[in-house]
Amino acid sequence: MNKKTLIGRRSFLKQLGCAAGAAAFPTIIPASALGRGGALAPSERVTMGFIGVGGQGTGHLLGGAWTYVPGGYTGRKEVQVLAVCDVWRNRRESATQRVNAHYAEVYGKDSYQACQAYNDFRDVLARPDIDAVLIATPAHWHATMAIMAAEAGKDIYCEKPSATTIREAQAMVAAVRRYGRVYQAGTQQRSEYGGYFRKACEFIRSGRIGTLKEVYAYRDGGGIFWPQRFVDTGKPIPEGFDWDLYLGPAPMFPYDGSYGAHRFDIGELNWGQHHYDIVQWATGSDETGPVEIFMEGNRSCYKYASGVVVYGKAYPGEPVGGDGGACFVGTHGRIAVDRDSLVSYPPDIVREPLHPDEVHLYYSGSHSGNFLECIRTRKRTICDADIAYRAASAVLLGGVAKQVNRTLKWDPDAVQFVNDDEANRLLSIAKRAPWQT
Amino acid sequence: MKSPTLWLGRSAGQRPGSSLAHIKFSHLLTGQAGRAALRCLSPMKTFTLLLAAASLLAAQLPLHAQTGGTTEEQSLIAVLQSDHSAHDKDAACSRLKHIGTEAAIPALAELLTDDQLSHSARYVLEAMTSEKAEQALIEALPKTAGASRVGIINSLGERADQRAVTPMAALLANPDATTAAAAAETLGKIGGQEAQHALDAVLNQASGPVRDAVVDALLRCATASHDRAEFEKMYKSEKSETIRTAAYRGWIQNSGEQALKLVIKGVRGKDPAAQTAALQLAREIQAPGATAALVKLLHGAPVAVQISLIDALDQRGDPAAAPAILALTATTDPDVRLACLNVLGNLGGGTAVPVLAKFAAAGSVAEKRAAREALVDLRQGDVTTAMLQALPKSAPAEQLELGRAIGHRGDAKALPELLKLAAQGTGSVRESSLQALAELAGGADLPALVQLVTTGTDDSVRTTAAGALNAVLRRLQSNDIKPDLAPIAAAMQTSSPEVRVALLPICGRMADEQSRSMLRQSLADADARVRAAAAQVLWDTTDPKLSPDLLKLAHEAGTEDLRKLAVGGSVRLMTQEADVKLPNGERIEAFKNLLADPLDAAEKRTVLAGLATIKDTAALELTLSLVDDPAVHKEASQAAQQQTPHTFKKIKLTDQFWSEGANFGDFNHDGKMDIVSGPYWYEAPDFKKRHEYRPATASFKRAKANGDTETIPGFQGALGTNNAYSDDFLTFVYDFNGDGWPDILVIDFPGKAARWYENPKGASGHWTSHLVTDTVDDESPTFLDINGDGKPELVCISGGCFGYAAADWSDPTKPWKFHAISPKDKNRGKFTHGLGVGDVNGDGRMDLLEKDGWWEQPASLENDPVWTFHPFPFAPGGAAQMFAYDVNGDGLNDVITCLNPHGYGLVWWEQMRDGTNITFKQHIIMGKDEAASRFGAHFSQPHSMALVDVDGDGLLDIVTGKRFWAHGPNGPDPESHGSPALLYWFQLVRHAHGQADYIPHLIDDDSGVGTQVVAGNVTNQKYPDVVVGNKKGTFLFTHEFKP
Repeated sequence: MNKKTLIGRRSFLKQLGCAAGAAAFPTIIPASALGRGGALAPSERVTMGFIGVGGQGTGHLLGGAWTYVPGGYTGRKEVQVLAVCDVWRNRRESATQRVNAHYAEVYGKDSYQACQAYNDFRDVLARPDIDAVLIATPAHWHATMAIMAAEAGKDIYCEKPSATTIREAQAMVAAVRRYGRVYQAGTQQRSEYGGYFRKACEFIRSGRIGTLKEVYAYRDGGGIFWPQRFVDTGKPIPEGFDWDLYLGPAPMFPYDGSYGAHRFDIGELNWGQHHYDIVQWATGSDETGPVEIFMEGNRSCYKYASGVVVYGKAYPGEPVGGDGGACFVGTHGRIAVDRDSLVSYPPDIVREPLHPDEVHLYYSGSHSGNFLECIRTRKRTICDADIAYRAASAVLLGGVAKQVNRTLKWDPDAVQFVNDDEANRLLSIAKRAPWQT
Repeated sequence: MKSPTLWLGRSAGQRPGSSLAHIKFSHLLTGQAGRAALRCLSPMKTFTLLLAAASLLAAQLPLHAQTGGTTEEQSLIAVLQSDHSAHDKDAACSRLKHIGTEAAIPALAELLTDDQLSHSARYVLEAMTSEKAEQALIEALPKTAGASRVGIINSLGERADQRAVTPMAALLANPDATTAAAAAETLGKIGGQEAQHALDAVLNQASGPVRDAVVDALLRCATASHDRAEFEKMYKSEKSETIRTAAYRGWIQNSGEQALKLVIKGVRGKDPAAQTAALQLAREIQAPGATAALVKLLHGAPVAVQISLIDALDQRGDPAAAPAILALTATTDPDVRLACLNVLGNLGGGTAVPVLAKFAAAGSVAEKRAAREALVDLRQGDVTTAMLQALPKSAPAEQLELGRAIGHRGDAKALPELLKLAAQGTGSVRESSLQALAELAGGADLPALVQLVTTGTDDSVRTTAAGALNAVLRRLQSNDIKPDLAPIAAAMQTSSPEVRVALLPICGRMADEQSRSMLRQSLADADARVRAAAAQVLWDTTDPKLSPDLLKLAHEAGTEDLRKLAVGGSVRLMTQEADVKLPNGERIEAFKNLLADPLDAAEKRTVLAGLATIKDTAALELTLSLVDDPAVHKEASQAAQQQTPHTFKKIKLTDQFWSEGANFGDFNHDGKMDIVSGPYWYEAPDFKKRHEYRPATASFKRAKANGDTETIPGFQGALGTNNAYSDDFLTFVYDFNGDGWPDILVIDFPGKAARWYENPKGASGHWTSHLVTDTVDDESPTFLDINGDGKPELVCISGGCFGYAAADWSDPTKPWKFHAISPKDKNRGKFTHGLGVGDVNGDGRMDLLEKDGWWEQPASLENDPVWTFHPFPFAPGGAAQMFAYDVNGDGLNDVITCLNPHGYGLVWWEQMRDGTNITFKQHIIMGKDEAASRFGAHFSQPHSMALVDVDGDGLLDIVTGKRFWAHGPNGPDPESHGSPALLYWFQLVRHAHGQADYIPHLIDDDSGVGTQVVAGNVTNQKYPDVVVGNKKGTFLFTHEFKP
């Protein structure tokens, strides 16, 4: 395969007769280059690196129920996977093999080795021929890695949670903006599941349940913690596993046999962003956040400046909403939505299709498709860094409230708690050198 | 400041400075610490325990009263300054992050230089607002190195305090690249002039990762200070495309009014870095004239850029871009066209309508879809008016698209004009308007819609108008709105026959009394066309209340065609509509009436198809009345076979062949009937667990596809390919030793022994076996009370004689004594076929049945007399089980038998008396060929049979089937292989005049029977289940009654 240079990387455009002139060409790949029949040449594809190929990452890479595309990104004609990275050697080698086997078949070759396996993601980020990365590492790495990817000039798909502290989330947004990168958060509910979530938000924002009063988000807040570092016993680190690189910004401690994706999570850090992304969307809060966070029972809840109250629990008796969704209660009815259902009381609220004069929200039919399209057109993704930052924050603020167990006032513009030094200290967590935000 | 201090219970007697490493977390979970920990959610447990540990640590030291705040802090500080373990100090730091004040800073500062604990100290200091924390971090810089120092540099970056600038600037020159790079990053985060100068100063000397960090830091500084010049400089001097994109971006964002110019320049130019940045910001830029400028850029731009710009204009949401995008739909590039169509719905208004209609009618698949969506989405200005104006002027295909769009948009303001267009317009204009009306019109518009029908000029006009009217009515009904049908009723009264014909379909679907009466009136209309249309509607109706009308129509139909329609409609309505559930009685009465009229064969078949779905004896009677009609004999038999509410659900207990019989009993005394077949009994209620009550050693080998052999448990049956037999041909269950636990009687291969196995009353292991007799001959021995002594005997052949083996009931474990009832005949042996027990002559004593006649039991059995033989060729070809039973209810017991257990034939012999002479007349249930089987059921080798009341009507029915592989797959018997292994029950139905029918009902087609089939209450207390053991395995068929 041709070595790619920075400028003129997309010189294929000359062949398509798209531009006059000799010198450099835009980095935008026209959709027309991708639609023409037959297999696309590798040089016409968006080149990608996959960082983290555990269950979720492998699903994105090669296909699985939650990635909504059979064959995953590897199976897509408009993508070329060049790098697979994981701190487990067997995982990265196995995934790389499968990717290369796929391409060998597609190109009709006996073998194909262009996809390479890496232990250290920095080597992936250093490759100038990779356009975009998909980050499906453990949660404690997400924001740190996304920032470094932005600084390396990559477009980024990053799994939720987008960040584990508010300061980290801010740094992530700043880096993405600073470098003008395309970023898609792995909160695919805005795109997938038959459009249920988008429709629910459109109906709510169009006033079909009257004035929105309360939201029941089914899950509450979450955050991150560092474990005890000084424990007496550790286990031998398995061969082919880079424990140091797995830990990354987490402090070093003896290997204890646990290497999951969410071992440093508190509360609902894992799933919370799915729910709160929708809460944010439905309440029109993508550019802001709560103003007050309080505890009710043992669940964190919050209020927006509009007066809408969001409870971190299920709506009593409403089964719809548990799977990534929420129940929205207005003055004229309520709507409950999750990955499987969209229901309303009274029922006809959701039966009537959207009228032209009602609120139309960003349409995306495929979360991965939207990401790829935006890489090409530099369009804002449906879950861009700003949206991800605010949705993650909604979860993280709840996490702080749970830790201090009292009502907190939050200033979403200054991004600070009002008159609460202890809570403000929990907006960040010290990272192990050399990793930084 | 409230803190969770509830766990600060203090235990006395702990000396200060003692190591607390011995405190285990289990200890923490008790008492107040535990309560606090448990109060929080479990995912937080570890974290909370950490805090708990820390504060308990504090509590262990004999200091002041615990009220939280400073005092607790003092204890924690003391830990830090003591020789406590690193573990304890780290825990103290965790707590100090929450409650630490300036008082803790000195102790924390000390830890910064401790490589082990530096991170723990930073954990606290990084987040403290106090400038003393900043100072401590800065002061630690020269005292630290390597990772510890880098960590401190990073923490200073997080704090972003100007005070750190000087020390960071100094570290820029550090020979360690990681340190220098970290210092650069921190300077970037701090920002400000001083930091920027420091970074600028080393820019040209730095290289590799340090330089990258410096450049990134400069970008950060420039962002924070809105330094346009810096961005411009970096754009022009840096080489990396990534940096240049970021720089150009920053340049645009800080150029105020010049921003737009930079965007335009970037988009137009040849520099990919600038273009990427410009295209991204084109979407967000707030500047007067931005939309126009971007629109201008569209012309002549490369395809990829065009698409990006179109998208950007969509994102900007300024409708002023619409005209240009509209014009661009004329481009030759399909991707650009599609991009335009995709955004016109958002940006466009009425002016976009004609273009969109064109694409909706005639574009590519993707374009059609995009255009249709756009037509529905358009929202700038008065789109409805524009569409209504365009409609009459457009080509027909476009008109239809517009009609559809107007309908989907849901704007009721379109209604008056639509009604006008529908009334005055012709052809496609009218059609399109009607399509829109179908979706938009409401109850208030019904009169106008009706008028469209009544004023329609020809049939097609009227029909389409009526179609729209119908759609509206259906929509209203499905939204639970009851429409006012007065205008329709009025039209039906006063209009011409043609109008009535057009409106009739509506009457058929409304399902309300007003419509029904209109329909009924039309059925009697003077005009033949109206009558025919009404009949058609009736034929199609799904309204059960119209069933009587349909039947009346069938009865009174003037013409054959009409009658056919009516009969078909009746049957469909009564039996094939999912939502129509008429009671059986009503339906059967209706069918009776239908059949009372002369019907042709096709109509009879239709009726039979309907009857077949009514699982009821009365319905069955009606079906039976058609069985002998040669024209519909086949359909009637098939219908009869299906007409039972009694069905069976198959449970396969095993696919291994262990026995050709099976039975049931409650072997483990749990109140539930278990199944026994072969050496196993299967435990109720799941029958998944089986118990080996006698040795199960049989197995055979078979070849696998790859050439290896595998061993299969059991005898070779369906899982193998060769013929083989088991050691278990019949099984009976009886409590032989009277201990309350059922025992198992097993009859081996013909000619071999019979043994009963003693239930061990719950103990494990094999059951003790007791020999009943060494030789049991005849293939269908039976076990019942033949001699009237209240106890069962084993009835069989032995030593060439028919007879029975009886136990000594004082000790049934002793071998039983055989009592012959016939003389010896050397032709009788183990493979003799046929044996039964029943009271043939009605004298109250059981007689013995065999294929050649019956043996009459004498009054006394003393000294084992020979019984009187009455020869009769019941089954010259051999029989299996035989029964004496009054089939036709005339008071005389008839004989039921097969004619050849390895061939064909199932009959009942009707007992006739000629004076005192008993003779029999044959009635065929299943004959040699299908034609001889009245109801079509046909299979060979009925080698076992049971007599049982299956349907609870008080009459005994027959359960029998095909013995599977009696002589293996290649046996000489007819249909040995390849025919389905059927299992049937034959329902006894008595008619008048001593007539009787056995109606076959299929139980299963993939099992069959063995040499024994048993029916009884296994799982169902009311109706019998069927139990089969044969070469296909062991089966339980549970009875299901679904009236």
